[in-house]
Amino acid sequence: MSPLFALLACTTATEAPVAADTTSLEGPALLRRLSLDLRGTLPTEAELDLVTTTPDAVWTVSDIMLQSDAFERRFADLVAESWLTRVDEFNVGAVDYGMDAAVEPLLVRDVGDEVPVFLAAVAAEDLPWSEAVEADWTMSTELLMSIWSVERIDGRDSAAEGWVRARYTDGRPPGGAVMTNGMWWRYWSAPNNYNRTRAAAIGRLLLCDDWLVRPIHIDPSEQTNVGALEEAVRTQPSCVGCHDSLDPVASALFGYWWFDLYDPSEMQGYHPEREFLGERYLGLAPAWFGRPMSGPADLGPMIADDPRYYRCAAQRTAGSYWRRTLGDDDFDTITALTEQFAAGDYTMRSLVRAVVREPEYAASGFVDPAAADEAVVTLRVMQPSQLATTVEALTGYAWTEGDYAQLDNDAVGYRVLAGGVDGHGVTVPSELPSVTRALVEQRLAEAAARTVAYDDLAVPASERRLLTEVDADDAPGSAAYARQLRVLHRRIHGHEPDDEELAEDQALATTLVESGAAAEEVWAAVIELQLRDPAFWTY
Amino acid sequence: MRVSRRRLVQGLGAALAAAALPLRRARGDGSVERKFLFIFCPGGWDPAWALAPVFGSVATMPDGAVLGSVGGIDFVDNPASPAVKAFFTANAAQSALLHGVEARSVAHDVCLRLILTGSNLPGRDDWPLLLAALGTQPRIMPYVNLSGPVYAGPNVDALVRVGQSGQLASLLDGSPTLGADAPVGLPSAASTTAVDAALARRLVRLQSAASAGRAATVAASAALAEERRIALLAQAEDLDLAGGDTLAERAELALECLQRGLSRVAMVEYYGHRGLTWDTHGANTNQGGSYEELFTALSGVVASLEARPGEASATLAEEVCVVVMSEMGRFPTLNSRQGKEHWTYTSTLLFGAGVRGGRSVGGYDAETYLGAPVDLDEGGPGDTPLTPGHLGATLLTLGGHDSAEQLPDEPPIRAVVT
Ligand code: HEC
Repeated sequence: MSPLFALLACTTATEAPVAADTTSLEGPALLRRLSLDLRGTLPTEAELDLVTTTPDAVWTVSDIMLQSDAFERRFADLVAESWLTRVDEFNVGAVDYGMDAAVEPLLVRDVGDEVPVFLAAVAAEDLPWSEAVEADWTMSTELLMSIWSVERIDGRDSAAEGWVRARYTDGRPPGGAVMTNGMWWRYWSAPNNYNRTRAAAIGRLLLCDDWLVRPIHIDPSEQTNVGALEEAVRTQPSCVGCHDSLDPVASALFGYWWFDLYDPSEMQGYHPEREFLGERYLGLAPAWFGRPMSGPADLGPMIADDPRYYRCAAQRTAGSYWRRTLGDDDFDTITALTEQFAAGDYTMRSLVRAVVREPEYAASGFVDPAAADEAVVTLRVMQPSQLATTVEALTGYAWTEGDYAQLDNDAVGYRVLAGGVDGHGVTVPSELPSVTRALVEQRLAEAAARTVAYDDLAVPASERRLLTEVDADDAPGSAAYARQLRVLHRRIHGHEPDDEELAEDQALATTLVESGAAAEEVWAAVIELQLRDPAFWTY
Repeated sequence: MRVSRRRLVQGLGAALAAAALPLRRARGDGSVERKFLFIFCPGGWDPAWALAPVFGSVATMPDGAVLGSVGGIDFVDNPASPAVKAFFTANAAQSALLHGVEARSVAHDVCLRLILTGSNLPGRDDWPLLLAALGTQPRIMPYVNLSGPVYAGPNVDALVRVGQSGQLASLLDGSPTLGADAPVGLPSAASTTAVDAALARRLVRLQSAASAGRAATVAASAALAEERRIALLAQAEDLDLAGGDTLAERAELALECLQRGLSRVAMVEYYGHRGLTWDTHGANTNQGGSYEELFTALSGVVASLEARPGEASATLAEEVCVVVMSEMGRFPTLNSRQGKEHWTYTSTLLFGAGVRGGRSVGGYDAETYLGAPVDLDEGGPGDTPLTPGHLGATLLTLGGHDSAEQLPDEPPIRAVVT
């Protein structure tokens, strides 16, 4: 087998890693991985100091991270990545609401964030995960509340800026994420689809049981009348296998049935009077895998009562933090995680805690390099969402264009070029560097480095972000310079520079100083180098 | 894979000089590897409106359409799309049609993934990306996706998406960070050169330090990505990657990338006449306008291929195979809105280098409208129902690769390969 095909074969998404002995990250390196995954930012210097002297403290720090607001925000990013809700367009936009087109980026992101922010709130409040599909509340923003029938209610607001606890007032039954506009605007259904896309999304996202994964094969001998497709769905054996269970779930969703797919007044509200249409169109009353529902209000509780629901949460959560898709081969691993989830009263924090404490999470390499397995992501590449939060925290630079966050959209931005998902065409994040990522990193690093260099050198040392050790007239080779370089490496890469790196930085600075560049320009170049270095964007 | 990446990136240091990648390197035998232009028609085109003359079947045909036949290609001569006839009249000898390819679903997302990867599981490379990754010549943008669907797996680093508003072009000229939100401008050229050089040294060190598994792959791809970044910046000086609004203009840009040897594979999406999409759940007659515009552009592609020099041949036409496809077909009969619903069987058009033309393979059953099984080698009726895997295997074969390793159960349709 050629090396190419060997790689193709062993990185197939659902293949579990072989049980080769892995080496594990420890101390500051493990701290860095935990911090980027749990908070989306780098560890603080105090945390690094603590874990450098007391490596075992890393798990205490990790538990503290889990309690932070940043955990809630980062968790929402991970939900968005796997639920594919942060798309660039919905069937209707700001203009359809009579709003200024400039509002579009805000509207599109708010709609796409409703489910992730809500699920992150359930996680942050340590509610049992059943709440994710049973809650009679959601999270909303001023903008969404101004156009939808949603009102603010008492209770804990989100750590995500601008998101408050709210409730729909249009008569929809409780049901957490599966009773939100955010969900059904993303997973919409064309007229002759009769909510099947949506039922399939419930299966895929909440049960990890994807009706689509088994390919349809239409058996010619069964196909007698091309006109009778809906009849075939209920009578032909090759259709019944899926549609018998799919269609009754679809039948429960007709309160979201739209006669016009592009009309805001149709799409924004729940239609209780249409609930009965499911039975009429699909010929089947709402039911959950054979258990009849008395109405859509039963949907959430029945999902939460299905053992697959908790297994699926464990499977998806592990996938998010281990950076691979778990599948059938991971049965035992998922079972073990689900048990820990149960022991933690099904709070998401307890699950995440278990996930990051599994050996696969900390894997850094292989005891026997010959047994190395590409499926284990021993080195992660920051996703665009992490690049954005980390760089902003380090330098104060946020890459925006108008109200667009440039690392979080593809309409005018660079999310897919930087390795992220766009929710439609690109649904699997890239875990490897690429030429377009390199370009994004270059432009981001240039702008961020220049911003912080100019900002820092304009204010007293005590008010600076990164250039805390030097003044504009310190020269390369001075003690202050060397100290500053060490601080930069530690802050940006999480470890001390080696001699070669220090010499490289000094040489870079010297070259630029000799060419007559101002101190701001010199430091911008030095910082840019550290930000483009894989030591920054891998972890 | 890692081994081949390592081989490609040995020259990283040297790559700091702008044109380090050998952009015009023929193979030993003087031939150049086959290149591909994909033109993707999302939404589900209706083969019965142009490509598949299913007269006398259950299918509703366009008003006034008659059977067209030229040079071994039968097609639908639809008065709404005279460009189809014009195209086949000129190019039947180098064109082949595949009919009744079963995408095994009726949902766009699923069919897209199936037709482009042969699988409904995530994490597989699609045909364009696979062909790009299998290419033996170093390329800056092995697969350039100017627009259209992408499914990426292990070879994602061979993919370059231009972005729907020309984002790649702006990254290249540095404009995205020059706006009001970043008041500090770009670094000087001297600064950039010095930073690039220091970074290159770090990437080389990282590669030699990384031992095995993912860390080694990341290190190798990082070095390769950097080499390509520098080479692409040099190319961008006279290549406008944001260029083109129409299908014809985008196709020209794609051909330019292929001609320069920047890419082995390019894709352009064609969203349909007046952007109305091919997804004609209402007014199926819109298919006529879309086919007209599509085939007008395809005739332009042929002319451009013949006018452009190839990398190692007299013309680019000798090097490029064009694949025109959609993710699904349409239900045989009209619905109440004069549209057609989805249908899991579709057709694909191949033309150009390597294609054994003047033939149609497969068809649609007159009663059931299911795809007709074929004889893969001879092209006539047989017992193999066509699947996306057969299409993929055919494309790999056209690319000069043995498809058996990748698609052991789905051999290529040899009938359409020279
Ligand atoms: C492997 C499971 C499976 C089988 C078998 C299956 N279907 Fe489906 N079908 C689905 C799913 C899932 C959807 C919803 C897909 C989506 O829209 O995302 C669907 C959607 C549909 C739709 C809505 C069409 C549309 O255009 O959106 C029709 C009609 C349909 N199926 C008919 C059939 C018929 C007829 C058969 C048997 C010949 C069949 N299905 C067999 C899973 C299946």
